[in-house]
Amino acid sequence: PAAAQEFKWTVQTAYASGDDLHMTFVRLAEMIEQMSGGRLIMEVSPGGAFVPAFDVLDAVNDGVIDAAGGDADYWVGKHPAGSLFASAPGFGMPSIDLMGWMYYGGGKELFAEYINDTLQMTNTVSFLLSPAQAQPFGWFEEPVTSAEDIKGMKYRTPGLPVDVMREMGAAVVTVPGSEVVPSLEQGVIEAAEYFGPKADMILGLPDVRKIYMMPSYLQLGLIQNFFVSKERWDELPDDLKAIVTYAVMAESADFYWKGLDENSKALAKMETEMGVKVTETPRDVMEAQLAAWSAVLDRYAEQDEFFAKVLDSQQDFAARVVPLKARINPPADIALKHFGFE
Amino acid sequence: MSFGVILGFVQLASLLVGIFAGFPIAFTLIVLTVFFGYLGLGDRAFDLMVYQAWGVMGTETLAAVPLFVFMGYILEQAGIMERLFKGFQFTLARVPGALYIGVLLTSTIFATATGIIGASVTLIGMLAAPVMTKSKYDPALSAGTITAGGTLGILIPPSVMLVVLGPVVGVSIPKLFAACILPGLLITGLFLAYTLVRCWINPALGPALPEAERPANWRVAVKELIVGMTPMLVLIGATLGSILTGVATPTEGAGMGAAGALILTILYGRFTLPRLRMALYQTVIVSSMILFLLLASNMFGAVFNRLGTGPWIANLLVSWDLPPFGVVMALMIVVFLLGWPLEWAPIVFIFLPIFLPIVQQAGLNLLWISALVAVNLQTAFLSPPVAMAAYYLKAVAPQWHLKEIYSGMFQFVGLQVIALILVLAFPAIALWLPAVMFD
Amino acid sequence: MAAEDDDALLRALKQDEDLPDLEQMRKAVPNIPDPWRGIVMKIDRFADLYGHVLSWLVLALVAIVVMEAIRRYAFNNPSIWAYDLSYMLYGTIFMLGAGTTLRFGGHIRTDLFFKDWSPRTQAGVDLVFYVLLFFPGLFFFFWAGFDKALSSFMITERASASFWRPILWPYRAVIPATALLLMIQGVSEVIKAAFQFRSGESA
Ligand code: NA
Ligand code: NA
Repeated sequence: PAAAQEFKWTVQTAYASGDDLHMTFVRLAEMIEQMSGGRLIMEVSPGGAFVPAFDVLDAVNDGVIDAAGGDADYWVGKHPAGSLFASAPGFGMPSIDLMGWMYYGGGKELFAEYINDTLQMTNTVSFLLSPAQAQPFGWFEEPVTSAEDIKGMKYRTPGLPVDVMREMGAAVVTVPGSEVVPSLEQGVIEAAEYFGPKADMILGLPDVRKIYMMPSYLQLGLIQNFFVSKERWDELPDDLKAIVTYAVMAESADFYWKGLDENSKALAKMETEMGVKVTETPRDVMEAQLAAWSAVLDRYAEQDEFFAKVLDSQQDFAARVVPLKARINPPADIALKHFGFE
Repeated sequence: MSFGVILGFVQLASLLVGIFAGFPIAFTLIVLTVFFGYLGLGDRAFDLMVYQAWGVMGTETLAAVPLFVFMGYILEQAGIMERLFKGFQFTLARVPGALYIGVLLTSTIFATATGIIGASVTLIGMLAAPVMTKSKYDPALSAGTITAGGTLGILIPPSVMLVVLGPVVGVSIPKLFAACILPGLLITGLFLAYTLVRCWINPALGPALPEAERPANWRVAVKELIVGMTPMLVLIGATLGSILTGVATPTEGAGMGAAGALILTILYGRFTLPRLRMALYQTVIVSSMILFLLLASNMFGAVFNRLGTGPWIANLLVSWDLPPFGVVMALMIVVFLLGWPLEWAPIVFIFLPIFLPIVQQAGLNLLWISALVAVNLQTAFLSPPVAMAAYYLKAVAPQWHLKEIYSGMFQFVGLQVIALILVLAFPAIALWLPAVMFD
Repeated sequence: MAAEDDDALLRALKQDEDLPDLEQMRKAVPNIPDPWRGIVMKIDRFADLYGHVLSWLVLALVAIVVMEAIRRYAFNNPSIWAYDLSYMLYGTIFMLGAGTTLRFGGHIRTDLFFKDWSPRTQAGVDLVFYVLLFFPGLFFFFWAGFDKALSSFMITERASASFWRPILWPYRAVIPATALLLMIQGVSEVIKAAFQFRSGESA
């Protein structure tokens, strides 16, 4: 049967076009086009194409673009709770577990409340997309050997992690995204984190720093969002609505799987071909990170009722899930040792 | 072709008419944006304009513009740059076109400190234009040298354009920086050779110092050069040095330059409060002119893209199924043509991503392609009608007519095309340095 | 700043022959009858006034960025506010300064044909543009900008790049304020153009 109707959406993301974060929306568009037999087509442009990256959500709400890609770390200026839906460590839940909270622990409803009520973006339908792996601690001149080393370090990170690093005593420097690599190269900042092995490699971080530290509790992954203008959403027939809803879930899983493949390859390439030295973050530094996170989160929760409500909901879910995973998953080091992957 | 795409083409055509009608260019751009935006997008177009304004207002690196403009006015008052160019002229007293060399070398040095075209064209224009006019240099060639030299900053790293372009194409920013250094120096060389050859053929274009004004001997000339150079070296130390050694960000470096110029004025005993107030006031007017124009052209580009015309052109090319060489040529020609009415940002954001898959399919070296695109986009600043460099210069050198500035710029666009062909024919110009530095 | 101070500044500047003459930069008020003349003078004086205020912000911007570089490099103690203050000052200077720039004829025109036209034709072109295009265009810009500033106010939006997180609505309000100042200056320009059109003599 011929396609009943054709919908064409102009979509802009908050990311650079080579970025994994941008590419997930490009693949989502491909999936939706295939599933709908070409009835719904999305033209995806990178951050800055129509509006600045920080404004994609507002632009969807105003109808300036039809749909957008971003993550709620971008809206911590509008309301700090955004971080809890994006990359904050969620009581020890990495983003793939946070997705569980979103779908089965009440997170999705809270996120809709955040977008539609707290931020007053009443003309926006939001989706949760593409959980990412934990984000490394970043690129340093010398390995960090203890939490003491952080004190006075000129470090660059965005969003609530700025509060956390300040809590740990770092001299957090604000540098616009476009200046991160030049600033590291010239030494205006000593250290910085970006996103993950593949994205960091594309940005050129291994060309300006060689010590790559991981793991880190600073950002335990990231969940992205797909925002659709309510007008555009309402005019879709039910089957196309279902296609969008399930394509979002399919791409979310695929993003994680693909991330395992691509990030492991990128890390190997950086270590073997680009002289990068991957260094393990000391335990006391990670403990200090979590302590600083708790202090920061408590401060915000005290000031804001909604923030506290989201935090409570996460804690309830984490109290079940984090112990479950600790009990049910055998420790990784046994397998690493047994198979000789170390 | 949809209604929006057609509107986009009409919008471009109207721009030509509107600009030549002689109404202020910034408002022509804004008015066309409102009109065509409303026809194609409804009142969403007005929101789109506000987002673009907000984007420019939030770009911290652009704070370098008022800072460098202020530095320029302070230096002009203290007569510091005039002495530097005098020193050049003295030392090269017998060489016709000595000031062109001075301008181009200063521009190249300046380009390693900043990639903000508005800042470099204005600053160099402010300082060099009066000396060139006084020395009876050819207005067109002088204006061409200043505008073309001033745009080198976008190609020679660091440069905001390269930082944005890198991730769009998927090449590392440090590598792209390295890839653009030699093409940048090649262009400087072409500019130098061109101005000198033209002055050699026709010395009237850049008259050597009259016999009476020439220094008595080489000692006098060297002394004048040293006296002229010293304050400049102090300032380069404050500006460039602070950026290159990691003391300051590019914006802070511009501030250091401004503060350094102010201190020099005090040391030279040229500081007065009325002079300071005048410099500050003129800084407001000139920065506002530059940045408001930038904002207006961003608005124009955003609506043009939102109407779908840019993507339409790119998709048309993609559908042609060209061989690899054809892909490169098509890319270069379209970027060049789009550079006439548009600035680099809308081209990089909308056009390149659509075109990128066929570049990748053709198996072309992405670093080489990026360097080619960068050289090509530098030309966009020099190609009227939306030729920002011309307007920036006009704002600080009102003695030159736009017609003269345009005709000077066109000569340098020709040199840019030659550079582009050289990088096309010899990819090593772009690829050699990154290979040496990073592999 | 009072008008007397301003004139004193001009006199002082005139004595210093190395300086460009601000008065020359200003378009002298042409032969315009009252009450129009009074309106033009008042509007132009207003643009001079906020131009002066903005010009001191340039000095503040210099001071802030230099201090920040020193704080970070020499004392390893970057401030939390320098980043936000520097883009806010820069944005305020060039946006609000657009009105003053219009008053001094500082927005660049293409003079390829314009300069050869008679003063009457020039004034006619300006009148058509201002009345039919400039005012409607800026009105919509004002309206959309006001809307954004208002919603920023409603949710107490803050900047998020730095730890400082300043309230954003005053900076967002710079957009509608710019449009408003430009429209006010536009009134003066229209009156000037109208009388130039009528008399056929350039100012
Ligand atoms: Na540069
Ligand atoms: Na152009």
